[in-house]
Amino acid sequence: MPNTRSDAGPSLMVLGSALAVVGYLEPGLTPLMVLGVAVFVIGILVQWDEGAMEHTIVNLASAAWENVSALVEASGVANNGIYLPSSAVGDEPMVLIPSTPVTSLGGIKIIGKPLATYGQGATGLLLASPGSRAVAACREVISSDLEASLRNCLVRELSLARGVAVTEGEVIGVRVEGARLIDLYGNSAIKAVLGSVVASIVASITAEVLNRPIAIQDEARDRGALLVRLRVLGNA
Amino acid sequence: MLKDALITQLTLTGVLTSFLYYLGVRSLDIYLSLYTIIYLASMLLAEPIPRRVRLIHNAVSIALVAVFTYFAALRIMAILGVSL
Repeated sequence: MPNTRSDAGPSLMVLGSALAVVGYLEPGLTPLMVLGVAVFVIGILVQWDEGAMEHTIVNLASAAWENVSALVEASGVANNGIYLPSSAVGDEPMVLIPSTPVTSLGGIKIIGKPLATYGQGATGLLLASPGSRAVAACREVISSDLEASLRNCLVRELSLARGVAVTEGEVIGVRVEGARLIDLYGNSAIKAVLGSVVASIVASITAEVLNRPIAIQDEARDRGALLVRLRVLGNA
Repeated sequence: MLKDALITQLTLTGVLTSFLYYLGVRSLDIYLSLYTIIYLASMLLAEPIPRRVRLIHNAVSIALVAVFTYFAALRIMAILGVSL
């Protein structure tokens, strides 16, 4: 289930409780107490409604990525995806799911979507990912600064996180605070290949900023934050 | 939509409480009874109510109608001259 919590419901419940208590304790402030009760009830409804429609839509749409999971498994190309910048594949960043472990990407050539050849003529699947759409949505805020680009996109544009911190090195570490939609894929094959939604977006943006292929080395949760470690592969 | 229903509910409750206070009404039963009517009527705007919210809505409706019934019974008994 997607994590779509916000603070509106609890805030209204606290406000309503405070108004009701003040109205109850102070003589002659009965209307304030009733108003507090009304605000409290609204807070409960808001809290329980939070993400209800999104849950329904995600449940219905989950058929799509379950189908992709099944196709990926059936095709036998179940290696970790390699996130490619838009300069390598055309309009938008894509994910290459190689049929064999990659030693050299070489030139990526689309032979008929979603099939593509790479390296010494090996074939793989070239798929769009949540990262592809995120880069399109955040095109105007992506710059040459990786941390700023991730923060501007994930926090400000998409509201999928509360904060982002990057440690650059041989392995790029990205810490996403308060990440939402972490468990969208469940335990399907597509998650094993593409990573979680937020990790996918982080990898796509990193590939776009650095203009180099990126692989997700691993991701882990740490007290409400998502830690994503990325490996840079080859040259642009 | 639920948002429309909640905005309507809050607006009407605010107007109602202000107006009743202006008229000098201080008894809790009148405020709660009228709030019950506002709540039930405004939630019609939220139909169809999502399943999760419907559970809360049903619980709140039952509680408010029970309170309304209690205060209405007290008033009727007072009119009929029946004492507990």
